[in-house]
Amino acid sequence: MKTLLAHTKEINEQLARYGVKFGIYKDGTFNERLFPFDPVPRQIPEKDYEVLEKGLIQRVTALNKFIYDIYHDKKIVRDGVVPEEFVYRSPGYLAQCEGITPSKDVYSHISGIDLVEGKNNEWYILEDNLRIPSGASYPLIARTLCRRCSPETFKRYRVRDNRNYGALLKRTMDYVNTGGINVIFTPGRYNAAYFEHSYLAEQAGAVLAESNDLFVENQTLYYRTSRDPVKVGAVYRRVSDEYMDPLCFEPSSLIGIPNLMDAYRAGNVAVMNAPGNGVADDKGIYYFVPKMVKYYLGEDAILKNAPTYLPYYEEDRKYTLDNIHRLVIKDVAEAGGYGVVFGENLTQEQREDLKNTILNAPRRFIAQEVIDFKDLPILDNGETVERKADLRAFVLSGENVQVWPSGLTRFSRNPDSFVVNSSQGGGFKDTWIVCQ
Amino acid sequence: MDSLSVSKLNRLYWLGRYYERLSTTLSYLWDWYDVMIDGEIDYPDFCQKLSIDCCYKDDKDFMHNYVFDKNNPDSLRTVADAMLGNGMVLREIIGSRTLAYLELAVMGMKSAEESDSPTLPLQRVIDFIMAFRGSYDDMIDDENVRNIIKCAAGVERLSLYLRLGWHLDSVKSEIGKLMKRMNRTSLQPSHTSLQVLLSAKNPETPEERKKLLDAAENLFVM
Repeated sequence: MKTLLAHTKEINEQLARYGVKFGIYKDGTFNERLFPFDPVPRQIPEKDYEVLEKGLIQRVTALNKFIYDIYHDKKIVRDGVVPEEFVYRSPGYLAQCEGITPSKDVYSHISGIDLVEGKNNEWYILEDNLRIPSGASYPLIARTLCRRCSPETFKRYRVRDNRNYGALLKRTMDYVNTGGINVIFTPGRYNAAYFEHSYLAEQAGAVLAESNDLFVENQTLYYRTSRDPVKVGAVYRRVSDEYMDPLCFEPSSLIGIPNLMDAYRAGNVAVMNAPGNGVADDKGIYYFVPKMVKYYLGEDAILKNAPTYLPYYEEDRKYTLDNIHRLVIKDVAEAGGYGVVFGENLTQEQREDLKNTILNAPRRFIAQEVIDFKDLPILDNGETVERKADLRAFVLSGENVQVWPSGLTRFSRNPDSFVVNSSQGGGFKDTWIVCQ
Repeated sequence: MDSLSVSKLNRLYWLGRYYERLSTTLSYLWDWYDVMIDGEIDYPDFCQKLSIDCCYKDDKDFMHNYVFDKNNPDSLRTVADAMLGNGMVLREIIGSRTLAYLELAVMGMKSAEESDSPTLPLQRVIDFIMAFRGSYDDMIDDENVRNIIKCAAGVERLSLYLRLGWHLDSVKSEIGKLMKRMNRTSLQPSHTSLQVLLSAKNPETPEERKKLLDAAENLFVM
């Protein structure tokens, strides 16, 4: 491990060489930044991983069933397990998806599940990302470079290989493909995750396409070439639901494909992840996921949620208002680390304002206990320091539901912060599943 | 998949033109760093030949800003960024290993700008471009893709030679190489330009140069 850590600078130089960057818009200007890599890996013993793996498969299986149910029979709403306000008032719920059954019934093909490990060694789910979760490419390329930099480390530690992500993605695309080529559909070069889009296209042997490369005719999606158009069978779209098809969603979108939803509705193309998945990864719906597991699978959830309160319910609202000084309040409409407020950091006046906002719009917020999660060591100018870190696990749903034996560990570089998002200045680590 | 999208074909073409523009122009300017030790360089003439804005105060300002100013649309740094920008959107076609040489070339431009002796680090930029040429020629299986990049580079080289009046004795041979490569691509050339180039010899007069330059620039409509 010493040689690996000694090569921190060289590994980061290698990442720069391969263009491992993410984009960020600030004050209307696009800038690309290198994503700082810390070579001290997060290590998860294989026996702990086995529990995580079962829990993640269980959770994603239930979430897929939930999305199917919401856009078809709505049994879970009728049975009173999930209140209808949380479904139909969610910005992620799309009426346009009602009644559509995607290829092979899979909705969330690539799920990014965010977890933290508590100091009690227990894992807690922080959120589910079922729309366009990004991040797999970073530990994927970092592993290759770390192995190159320090082969002796990987001889000594028995680490599960994670370099098959491209093959897993291809297999998932092939499974739902309706006949035609596989395409990764990107908003373009100035998207924050463009590196990932292009790298995954290379790794999965898919075609990387922008909106002007694709068109729909006779309810069929085609890739526009200099010769004859080529039919697309599966499109892994990295464009948000609302911008995906200007004739169905946001009409001003210039990055979408007109009539894509028609082709999808007709069953002529698999759209990955399925539009409308946002109904299941809404921060308000998160509270109900353990109940979904019980409802659809008849099992207790293996993985716990962070203790969460819904101000929508009177009892929870009272608890939230009484304990706001020690809770974290999240705006359900925000993402990327935005809209997260720690009660302890607010002045008395700010707390009162927040309480009033919650009282006026209780559906808009959730409150969570601040989990005392484990710090992880990182190298900071040659010194080892402890920082907050989370884990994004990737679950791929094709013929089987499968967890990628790795994941993106993101850490905060600020010693006083719990916010680990890259857009907020965080870095990343590789995640090792270590065999005994 | 055998066919390229129109936008990818366009990107491949401009990738070829920009990398050749960067490396050939850097090679041309190489001697000027030496000339400046003993005398002056005729940068206004250079700007006129390339049809670019002559907005420089003196020799030194030209050699710095024409090469490094990322806000100058005519600078070589802008050319390098455009080269990388086209390469980045072709990762799944040219491969990460090949693309890395373009990243390295742009990083080389940045570090040369910070150096008080830029000629030495600029040598590395040319080295990385040579490595890129070798890498794409060796690593890309698709003959059409390889030859689109080569054709575009050939057009750019011809264009620079004719504009600058440099290596004019190589023009006929460069046209010959371009024609052979073009026949291995899906590019559709302009019939008129093709006729001019096929009957060309090394140019001796400004009029002949201009005629060949127009034919080279209009050979493919991108």
